Amino acid sequence: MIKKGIGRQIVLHYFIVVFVTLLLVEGIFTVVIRTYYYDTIYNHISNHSTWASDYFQKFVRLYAEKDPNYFTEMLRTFELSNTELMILNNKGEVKASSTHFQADKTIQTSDVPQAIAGVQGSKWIGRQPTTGELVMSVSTPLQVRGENRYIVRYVTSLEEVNSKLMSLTVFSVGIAGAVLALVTLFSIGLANSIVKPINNIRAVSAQMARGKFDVRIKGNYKYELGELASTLNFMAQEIVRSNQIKDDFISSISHELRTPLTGIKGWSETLTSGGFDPAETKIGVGIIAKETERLIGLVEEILDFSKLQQNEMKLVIGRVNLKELLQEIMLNVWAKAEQRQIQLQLDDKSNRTLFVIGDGNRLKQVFLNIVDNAIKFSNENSWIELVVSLQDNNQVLVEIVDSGIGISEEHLNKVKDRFFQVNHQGGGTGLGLAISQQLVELHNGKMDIHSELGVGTTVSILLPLIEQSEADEMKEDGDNNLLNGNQIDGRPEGNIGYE
Amino acid sequence: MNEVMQWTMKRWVPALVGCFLLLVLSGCTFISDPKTLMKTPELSSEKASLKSVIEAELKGAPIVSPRNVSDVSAIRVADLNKDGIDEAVVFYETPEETVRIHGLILARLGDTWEPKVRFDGEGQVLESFDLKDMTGDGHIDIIAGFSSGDKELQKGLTIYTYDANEVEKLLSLPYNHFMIDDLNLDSTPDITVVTVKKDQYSTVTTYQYDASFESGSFEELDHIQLEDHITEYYNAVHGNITPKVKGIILDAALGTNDAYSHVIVMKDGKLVDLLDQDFTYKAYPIMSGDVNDDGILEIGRLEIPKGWEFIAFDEIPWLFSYYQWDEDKGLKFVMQQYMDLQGRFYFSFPNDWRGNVTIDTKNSDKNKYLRFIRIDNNETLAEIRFFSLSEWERYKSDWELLARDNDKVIGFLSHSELRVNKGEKEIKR
Repeated sequence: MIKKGIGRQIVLHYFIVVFVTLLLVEGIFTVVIRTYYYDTIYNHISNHSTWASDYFQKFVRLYAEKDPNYFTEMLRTFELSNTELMILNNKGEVKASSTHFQADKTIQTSDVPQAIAGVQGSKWIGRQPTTGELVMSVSTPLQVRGENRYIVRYVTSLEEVNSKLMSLTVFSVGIAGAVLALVTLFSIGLANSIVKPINNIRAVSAQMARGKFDVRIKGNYKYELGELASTLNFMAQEIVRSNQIKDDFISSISHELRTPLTGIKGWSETLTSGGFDPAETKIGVGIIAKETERLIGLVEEILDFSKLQQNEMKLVIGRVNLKELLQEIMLNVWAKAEQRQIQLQLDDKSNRTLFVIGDGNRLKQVFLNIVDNAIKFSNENSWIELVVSLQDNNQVLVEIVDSGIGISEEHLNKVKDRFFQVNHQGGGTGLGLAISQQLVELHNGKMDIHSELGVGTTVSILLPLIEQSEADEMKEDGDNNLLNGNQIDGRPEGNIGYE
Repeated sequence: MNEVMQWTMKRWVPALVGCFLLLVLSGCTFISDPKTLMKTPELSSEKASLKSVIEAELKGAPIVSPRNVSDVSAIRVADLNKDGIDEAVVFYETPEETVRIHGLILARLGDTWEPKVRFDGEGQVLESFDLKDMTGDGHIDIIAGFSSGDKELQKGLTIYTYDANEVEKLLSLPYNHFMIDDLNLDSTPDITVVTVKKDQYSTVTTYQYDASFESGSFEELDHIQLEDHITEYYNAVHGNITPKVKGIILDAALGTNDAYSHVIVMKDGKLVDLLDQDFTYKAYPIMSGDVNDDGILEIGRLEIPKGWEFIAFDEIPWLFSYYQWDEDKGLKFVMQQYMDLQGRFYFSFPNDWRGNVTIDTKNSDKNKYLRFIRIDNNETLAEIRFFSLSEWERYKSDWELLARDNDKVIGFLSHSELRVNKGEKEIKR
């Protein structure tokens, strides 16, 4: 027996469908074949009696009944092999019979009264009262002088027909059984073709669930099963990769954390031992402070990220003047850019004040991160352009265009992933772009990166604008107020403009 | 899947092919002609055992059926010798022997039958075969009529009696017709034999068994000689002539058309021919008999419908009138009918039509159209018309079907309340 499961279900369904079909076919076949046999016999007798009565009536003389040969001749004319022939009068009494015996009593089966009433070839099927044999009787009235004077009645046994029908039925049931068995076998095969891959996939996924991500689903499956298999394989691969990324992050973050700590430890030990001139002490304390700040920065970044991950980032929503924000950022990074002789330039194509709803600090964080990246990956003596342009649908597009080293296509898809770094030696957590991306999305914006290796990178950030009229009103309300702030929850169900 | 397929192919295909071959090569056709499966119904076990015993006993000699009008069955069962055990009587033929027809009596022995006695018949053909107590002793006698097979020659009547061991001939007579009845009304059956001396005369003789003698024998009660110069009587019937009197009617034909009847009864032990030939004359041989089913025999006569007196004999649509004998009045009219001489249909008139109705001479032709009209005012009462099958389709809503054969339909249209072949007063014959 097949064990419980889809396989058994499929086989069972096939079995039921085929069984019901065969049952119907079998039923119809039995009825049709029975009708065919009975009707053929009936027609045979009925045609013969019609023919014989026509033939006989040509020889019926006016008073032929008085002829001693009347019934003998009648019996001979109407005789039909394999039947018992009876001549009845119109009261149902047997006047002559092809058996040599006298009839016992009047015939009372339904065919006789019908024939007396004039129905040609009336039929009766039933059991003989004396022998219990199943017979068919066919009665036809015989007209003498326009009167139904005699009834010609044929009786034939249906026992052989019935046993033939029985054997036909048994035979067809046998065939149906064979077909059913065959179909069941096929359905087992079919069920296996579905169940085997599923079982295989299930086994492999169970292994994956136990943490063995190096196993893969083998076999060339088709359609949905194939997709399922490749999805699972891909999932395992992705899990391995993201684990790898996390491991890399941990090792790089450890490195990042250790570097300032080394500096802090070294200087603190040096300072503890004492005996330095104040200038040297000042340098040491300065380094300790700077490294501590860097550590705090790192930790904050990680904190931000984990908040974003858990949807717990709180935004302080207000009206932000985008151009002012960008100019501020340019000022912030000016020194760093100057150091590398990189030109920063704001290209304003909108010619109006642009207000967006959002958390000014967070937006600043986003743009700082991107501009900082641009500076970091730009060559010396190059330039970075910040392009602000209005878009349809009341949106503003900020593009940060550099002509730096660019990102190869294979890395481009991953740069926004957490912990991803093209080059781990550069320092940092690899969280910056991922955080930026999520922050932009929290502001109902969209961030895209286009890049070509060796040519440069363009980061475009699309943010929704406040309507012009609204913006004017707000301007009247409180100008220059970057952070006028209701603090709200940063989750999407927040009450201002978030979906 | 593939494994299963392969397994299926390996095991099942040969198995199925094998089954198919077995079926085809065994010669068993799947669907055989139903006609070949028909079978004569079985006889009841009693009859079957009797038949098988007879067949075994006769060793292939054919069973002979009598040419009786009333009963053509060959095997009769009755308690012949009043011993409470059924006997079966059957006649059979041995064409190669001098005695051609034999009888065989079997007695029931539990569930089976035991042959008892064989006896010889007389002629070549078994004309009649009856079982009836003719002697009044409770023993059922075998009355058999034999003939040479030649219609012209006289037939022989034999009465046998059986008493457990042997068959005894009680009577042996030549005859042309015989009837078993009770002409002398003494409640004991008598037998009347009609013999025809060809073209000279005929004799009617009545016999009755007389048990007063020790041995007992059939004695003649009376006989009467009839001056009929005929070959045979075309019809002989017996039964009630009046509600009380029994008698026989003999229909004699002279040539093809002229015929007349004798009505013979027994008065005070003497046979009497009641009527003169002239009273019973008919231009066409009509059969006498109980036409109206009242239990009394009628004599038929022909009448020419009014207006047809001078028309050629063959074209006359004869009316048939039937009469009963009445002790006071002689012949008494009973009923009239129109009868198609080819036997295709008949039409019985209501009683009040007699003498008032005729058939229209102008348009009527007895093989095409008949119009029944009142003599006094020519009112059409009924019509009979022969239709072709296609014509009938148009007329069948109004006309009543009288008879139908392969190429024509005979229809009836009544203008009064008449119905054909229905209702008792106008239709019974």
